[in-house]
Amino acid sequence: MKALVLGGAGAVCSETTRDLVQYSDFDEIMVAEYNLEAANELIKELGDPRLKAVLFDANNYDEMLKLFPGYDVVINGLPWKYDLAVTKACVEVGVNGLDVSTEEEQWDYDQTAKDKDLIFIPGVGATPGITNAMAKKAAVQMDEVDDIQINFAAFRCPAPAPGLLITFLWEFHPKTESRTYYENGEFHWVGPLEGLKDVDFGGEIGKQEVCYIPHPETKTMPESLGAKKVSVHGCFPPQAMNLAKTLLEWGLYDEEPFTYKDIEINSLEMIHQLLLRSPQTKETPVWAYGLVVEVFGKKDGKDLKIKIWTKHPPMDEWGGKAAYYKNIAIPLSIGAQMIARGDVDQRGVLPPETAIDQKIFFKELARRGISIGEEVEWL
Amino acid sequence: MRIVVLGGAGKMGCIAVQTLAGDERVKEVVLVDMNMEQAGIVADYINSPKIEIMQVDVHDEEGFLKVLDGADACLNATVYYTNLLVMETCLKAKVPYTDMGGLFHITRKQLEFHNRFQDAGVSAVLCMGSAPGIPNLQARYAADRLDTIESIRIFDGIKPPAPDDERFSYAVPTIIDELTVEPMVFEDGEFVAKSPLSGFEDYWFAEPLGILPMHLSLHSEVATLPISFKDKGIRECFFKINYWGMAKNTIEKIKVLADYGFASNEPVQFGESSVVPRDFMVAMLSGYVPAVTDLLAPPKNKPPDWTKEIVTEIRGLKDGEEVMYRLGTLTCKGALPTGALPAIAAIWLAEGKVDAGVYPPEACLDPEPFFKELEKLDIITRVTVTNQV
Repeated sequence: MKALVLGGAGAVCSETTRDLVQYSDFDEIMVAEYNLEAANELIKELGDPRLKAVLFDANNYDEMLKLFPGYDVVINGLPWKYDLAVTKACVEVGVNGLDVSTEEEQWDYDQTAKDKDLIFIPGVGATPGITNAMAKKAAVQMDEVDDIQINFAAFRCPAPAPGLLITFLWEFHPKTESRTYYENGEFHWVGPLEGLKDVDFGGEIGKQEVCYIPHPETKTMPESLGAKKVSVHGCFPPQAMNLAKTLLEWGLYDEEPFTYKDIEINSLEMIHQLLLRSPQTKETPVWAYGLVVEVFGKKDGKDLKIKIWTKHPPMDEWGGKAAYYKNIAIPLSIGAQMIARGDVDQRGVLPPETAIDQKIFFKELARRGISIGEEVEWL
Repeated sequence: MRIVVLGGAGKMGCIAVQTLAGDERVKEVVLVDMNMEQAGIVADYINSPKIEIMQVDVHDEEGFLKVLDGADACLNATVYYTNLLVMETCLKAKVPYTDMGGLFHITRKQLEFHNRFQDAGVSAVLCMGSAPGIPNLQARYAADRLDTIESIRIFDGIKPPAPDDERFSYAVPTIIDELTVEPMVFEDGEFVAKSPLSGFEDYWFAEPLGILPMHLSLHSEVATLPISFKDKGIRECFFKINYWGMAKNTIEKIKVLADYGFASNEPVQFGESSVVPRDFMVAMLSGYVPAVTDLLAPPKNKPPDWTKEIVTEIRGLKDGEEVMYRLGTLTCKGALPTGALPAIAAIWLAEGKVDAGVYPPEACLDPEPFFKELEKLDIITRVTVTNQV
């Protein structure tokens, strides 16, 4: 069996490559990278003969069509702007795949994937990803699912990688359309930093204030889990939240073009470029990922709440920054291995809560140190 | 008497122009600025026949020398980065010079001009903003009455604006510097750098200001007072202020941007152009300042409804007894002293009241007549002397 890891030497996905080396049965693990030097360095460091590297430019769609055939699974660890192209290419050439985010248009390839007996799972990271399995774990214990509240604390700096800075800025952009919660059959749009509440994530993160964040779980779970209400709240470290608040309050998200020092630009783009280049946006005191999912529903006519949370080793035991990245990278690796092993029997382009057997998934997470806690409360 | 005000259309420079235009000793006020639109707004508001507007870039020495021709004094109200350059040109033109401060480090460099100014017979008084300026004169008042000085502690208390007021109280670049550059203090007889926004303590100001949270800030008084009063044995000197007269929330937001690299002076390349993050931040925030017409407007309050008190506590010995002088200078319009002080200094320079050379205020100005001049503008100074019974 052969796996193709797109961006496999990047900030997040290098941890996926490490996990594949340590836990997978793949005969070949191909690291497809724009930065071939980084890929070769990683391969040298890991020293596994199954690893190979290939130069890959994700901006070239034809290159995808040539590269993808012959692999059992394409593992997409690229920034989210490539999600749609990778899904389309996988379906076009007939290869299974998965990624760590979700673009609405990816679902358009569901029927074609089914017709071709393929599976593609968007969003198999921490959130979406682990959170989908957590919600499923609670939902299957209920007769009716009233309210799914997903909460995350992404404790990382604003710009550990270019794609993650874009995510950070986009999640608080005042014009982001997908920042919604679902209730009574409708999606309700909310502004940035709205819906504030405190959530205790435990460990090094502790109690944090979270707000509505645009996330795909809100879109998929009303249908996949039959939930009447779904919301995703999240936060970054307090200093990063203050940055988002400051950018918003001072109107620095403005996209009106202007000329500054002979450069045609707008405020948001300048902010983006300066943050990308600033050394201060690459550091934060604590690297970790906190996930807490609370599901309210009914069982045998009684109201109940099931709270599920994750726990992972602290950063000093888990390689510093890797303590954050592993929470995204490990599920991606597990998902790829489940697809390759045949643990996923569904076909199409499907969300994680539909495609992935959460029992196997959690067992695999536990092997790597990510444990799940659960509390059932009858209301 | 002809006084040139550089940056006369700026937030503090306009008040200096207004003060000078209202003073009978002054015949002509030359409002020099790069921004002619704003210069017009200032001149129209003040509406004085004494005001003449000129556009010049201080980096254009030839043009600047023409502006200085026939001037009796030059008041530099531009951002303090230009102080050294403007002094060079004033020296060349033999025109007396004053400014609003050099944020410690530039002030130190300016004092090195002393011998050249003295040799050329030209006078200069530095650090004549509200603070620095008033605390230097307050300290001098006490120093004249003490045998020794143990400490000079300066507290600049400003009525806090509404929590959601996002405006800067004065020059954006200066406030960003004050927020990000380490404040210097004089401690146990040594100059020591401290962390920005550190050394918090509550200080009780005259009512209705009451108790305000004060923190250290880089300021020029600390650069000169320990040197001026070295012979009196001074051991301690610091300057504290309450969020530079701005809302705490606003200061915290500026700090967030600074912490993420927007205060950096390292240029960032954009294709063939480069951008200094700090310059971009200043440009983006430059809209968050009060309009000049707001600054020129009469105060909304009347004494004793004070909005600002600058306090200097000077402790020392007189005839072997411990004495503490507390001088508090009060105003109902916070920005007024910043323009009024250099205006009066410029008049005194033009009148030849300052010897040739470059001096901090405490070394060349007699505090009592100066405080009397301020009193005419409703800037009142009170002194309290505390002795042991």
